[in-house]
Amino acid sequence: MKRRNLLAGMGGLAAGSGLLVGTGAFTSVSADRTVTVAVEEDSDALLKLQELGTGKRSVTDGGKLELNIPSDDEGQYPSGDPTDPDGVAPDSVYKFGADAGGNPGDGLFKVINQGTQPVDVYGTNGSDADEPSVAIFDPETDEKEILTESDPYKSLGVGSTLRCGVQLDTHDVSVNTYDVPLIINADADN
Amino acid sequence: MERRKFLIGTGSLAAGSAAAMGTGAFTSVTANRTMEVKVADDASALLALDAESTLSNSVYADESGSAIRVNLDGNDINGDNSGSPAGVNKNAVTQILNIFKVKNHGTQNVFVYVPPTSVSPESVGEDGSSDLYIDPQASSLPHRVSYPDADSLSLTSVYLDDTKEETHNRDAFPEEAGYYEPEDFTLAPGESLNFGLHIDDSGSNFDGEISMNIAADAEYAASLSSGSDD
Repeated sequence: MKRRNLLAGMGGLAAGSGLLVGTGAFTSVSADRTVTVAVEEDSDALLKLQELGTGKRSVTDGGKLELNIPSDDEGQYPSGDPTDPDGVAPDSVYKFGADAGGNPGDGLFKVINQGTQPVDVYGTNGSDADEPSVAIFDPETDEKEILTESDPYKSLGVGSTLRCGVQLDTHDVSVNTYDVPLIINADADN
Repeated sequence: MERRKFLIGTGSLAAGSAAAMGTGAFTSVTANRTMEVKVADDASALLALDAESTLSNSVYADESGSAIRVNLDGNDINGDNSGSPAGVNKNAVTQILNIFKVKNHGTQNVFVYVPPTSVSPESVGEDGSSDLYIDPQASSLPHRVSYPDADSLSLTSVYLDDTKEETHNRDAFPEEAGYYEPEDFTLAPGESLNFGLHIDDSGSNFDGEISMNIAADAEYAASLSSGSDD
């Protein structure tokens, strides 16, 4: 009678050359495996983030999307008779649906799903209480409601693009220059 | 007897062009990016609120803070320490125009309005339940076509509701004789209108603060010039 070797199979990062586990228990195992990860620039990542427009409110810096409100070039718009604002006002809610000089609805940046499942897209505010709060919205809708975890942009398909605008809330915020987080989330539907 | 070797392979977190993706895509991604935001005084903001001294009633504007205020409560307005005047007339209609400029420092045309529901407390706004009624007014409008002889137009007459899907055009106030054109309230980049107040008192003893939102919408302004009707 041939002995059967029972293999206790388990899901795991096993990629070794041959692990034979018999019915006997083991006291401990330490199995070193490897995970291959490539960190990509935003333009080529699983969640692709791409700046829009030429007014420089959205730029790519070091391979990452970055926003500046007002843009470094804001003092050049509109051409011929520029208005040169210093910034957003306090105690206000500003929505930016396009780059400086762009058309309303164009968006400040694009989110493109380069994964393999549809995802829900939304923003998270990471600002402190005395900083401008940041939210993202879909500028191609009329209501321009902000996208939150409980009310995201639903089911962005594989290969599909979502244009995003940014909402800033400066209630109880003083005149100053702030570096605040812009947090973009994408969750697979299931 | 040969020993069997079994290899257990599973999907792995391999990214990059050469790797084969398993059936799982990413479950979630959280990308932390940064943005730089400059907050400026009202007078130099993208929608600037600026009480230029050339305006006839700029003395009632208080620009000591970064957000503009209007004071109609005396407080030494004339700077002569006389304690007078101390407020607006009771049982009277008082119109104070040209208090500060609302300037479009953006890059697109905007439609300027005050949502009537933003006037707070509600009783002095469209609710109308108080003996005091206050309505924001606009004068020196660069694109006015309606009522050319009127001193000012009401900023709460043509407005976008919260959904931004509908504009409303109420009876022109204080004319109450017809309707305005939305174009009346548009500002191209660099243009401004003068903000004022219409105050109608029927015997109130009001002594307090009233707030309202001044709104500017570029998308609605763009729909006006393209001729599309949403």
